[in-house]
Amino acid sequence: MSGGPMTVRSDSVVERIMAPWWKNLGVWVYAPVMIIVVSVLIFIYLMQASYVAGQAETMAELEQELHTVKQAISQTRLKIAAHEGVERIRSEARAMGLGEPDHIDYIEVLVASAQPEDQVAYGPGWSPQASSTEGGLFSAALQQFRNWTRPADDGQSR
Amino acid sequence: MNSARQAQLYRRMLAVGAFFLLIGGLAVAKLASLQGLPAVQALPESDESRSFEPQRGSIFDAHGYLLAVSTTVYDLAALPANITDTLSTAGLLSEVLHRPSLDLLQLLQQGKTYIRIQRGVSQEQADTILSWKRSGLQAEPRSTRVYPNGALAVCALGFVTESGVASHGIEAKYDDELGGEPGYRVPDRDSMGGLVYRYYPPHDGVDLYLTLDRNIQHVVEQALERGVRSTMASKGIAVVMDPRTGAILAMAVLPDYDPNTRIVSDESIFVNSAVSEAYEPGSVFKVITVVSALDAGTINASSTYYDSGEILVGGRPIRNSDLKAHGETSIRDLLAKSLNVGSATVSGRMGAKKFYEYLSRFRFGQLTGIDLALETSGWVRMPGNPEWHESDLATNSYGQGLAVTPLQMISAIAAVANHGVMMRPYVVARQVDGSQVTEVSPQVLRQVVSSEAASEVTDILVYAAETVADIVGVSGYSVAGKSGTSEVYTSSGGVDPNETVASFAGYAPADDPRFAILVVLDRPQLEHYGTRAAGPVFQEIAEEMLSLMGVPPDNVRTGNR
Repeated sequence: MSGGPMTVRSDSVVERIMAPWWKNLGVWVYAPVMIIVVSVLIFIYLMQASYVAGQAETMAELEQELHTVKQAISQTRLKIAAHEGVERIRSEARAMGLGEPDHIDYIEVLVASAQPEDQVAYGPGWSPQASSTEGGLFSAALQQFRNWTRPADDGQSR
Repeated sequence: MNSARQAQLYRRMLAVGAFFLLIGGLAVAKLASLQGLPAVQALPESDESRSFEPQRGSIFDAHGYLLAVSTTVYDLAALPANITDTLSTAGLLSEVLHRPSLDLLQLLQQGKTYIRIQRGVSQEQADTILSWKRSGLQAEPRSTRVYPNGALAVCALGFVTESGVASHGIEAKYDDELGGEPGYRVPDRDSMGGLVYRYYPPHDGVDLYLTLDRNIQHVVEQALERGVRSTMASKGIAVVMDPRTGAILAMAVLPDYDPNTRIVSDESIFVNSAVSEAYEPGSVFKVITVVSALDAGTINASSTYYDSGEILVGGRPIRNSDLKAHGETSIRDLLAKSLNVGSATVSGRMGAKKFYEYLSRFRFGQLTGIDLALETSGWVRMPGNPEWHESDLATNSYGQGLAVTPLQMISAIAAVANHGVMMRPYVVARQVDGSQVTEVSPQVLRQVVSSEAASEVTDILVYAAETVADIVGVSGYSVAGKSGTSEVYTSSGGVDPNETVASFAGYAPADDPRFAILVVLDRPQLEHYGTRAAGPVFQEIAEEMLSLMGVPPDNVRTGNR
């Protein structure tokens, strides 16, 4: 049994008919695809590296900015402290003609009896009775609206 | 195309394909391996690591006035060899640094490679100098602590050295909180094995708001300074406390120093004598003896004793300071006339066990727990101590033979003022860490004596203060107070009557005390006794404080006109 002539014949057919396809496919498609794949990988890597470098640079800038802001806060605090120093205020006050009082008189101030807290909150048109019967903020607001829309009710005329 | 040439082409294609495949395969394999690895932990510090110093927290008084802040200053240096135009550079520097240009020119012309021109140049000055872009000039940043009010409250604040070491006072006690935590930048590897940095930001220190009121502090320091000067005392100490809370409103020790420069001839001046040094309190201590005896029921407000002018305790004579006998004497007069014999009689009636138990209650010989560095406990010899002698019971009752800190003394007096309730003294009212605020609540240590006993002693102290009202009184206000004078032992072991520690402790208004004051003058040369030496300082402080705090006179407050 011998398969030789058959194989030779078959190869020669592939060679004759398909070989040019293989050759063209290998050279013009396969190699560029590989180049593109590798390029994409390199691109991704470089992009990532670039992003990290950018982040590092941003971080350094922010650090510097933070330092500058902190420094500015400290300087501002110091300037404020210099302006509100006890000695400075005293000398400024003296320059303005102010001085220590000879004596202090305490006077009694008569304060009117305080309004109930709920009346202060809801206004003069509100009454605890209305609240208790109708209940809640909504009814208080409704009562206020009624008072506003019926000015004659409280004895005032337009 | 012949078969040989075709075969060669195949081989070349195969080689090229294999080459790209290999590269692609390697890249993919590397990618996969790196992605699959756990994250790289912080690498050990290398030259590429860097730490970021946190900003030290600021210190403010009770009303938010700045007392201490950290800022960056610059040390200006020059590399003379790199300076091209020395003359004009010296001229420019002269304008910015406000120094003679000739001096700067001489400095720059020295044949050295590196010259320090000026330390502590401000940010503005450094910015101006660097904006010239002149070669050979360097501004090296350095963090520094600035105390804008100079020596104000320095004994409580302490300071931070140029090397960043906190020393004394609040700066030392709260060093961890004020100092914050440094940040780091450490090298790391990214997913592709490239070098990146992990950044851990610094955590700035917290800001502290104190109980000290800079206006009261100013008043206290001014009054104390006048007192020290007028009596020619070697040292003056004043502590003001709110008896209701234990908050320290002012604390002053003279002589003082500027914490910005710290130029002193003797470094012992850095010690806060109000908390770190003990003294013999003298007759101020009789207040403690009497209130303890009242609380223990040993005596009552109407009790009397016979004052013979001298008694023997443990075989040792105890005499009144005026060397007189006062006959039948009330407890009220015991304090008003400051009679040693009376005090010794009272402590003798109490007995050693009870007397020293009360001293422990008032925390004499123990730390008060104030949040200031280097507090000392003083010392009290108790029975059982081999050095304790029976006569100590008598001498201790009038403040001799024991040592207490001014802070312990004012804390005890404040407890009497606060209806017998002793509060823990404190100076930091709140800590602010960004938006997080931690308030410090007043802390009750214990009820040391009953409210009734404290009230009775307050009445007696008002009476005692009224007997010297021209020196310690404040018109329109009831003031409670007691003076003390203790002799200082000389190096030979004897006592010199002209070497004393004069003190005065009291509070006002007596019926509703808003503050308690202790003034101690060490070795006053022109006035040796507590009332005359320290009394006027107490009076000035009390008068100013009542006005500053807006406390109406007694008749207005109580409605009795």
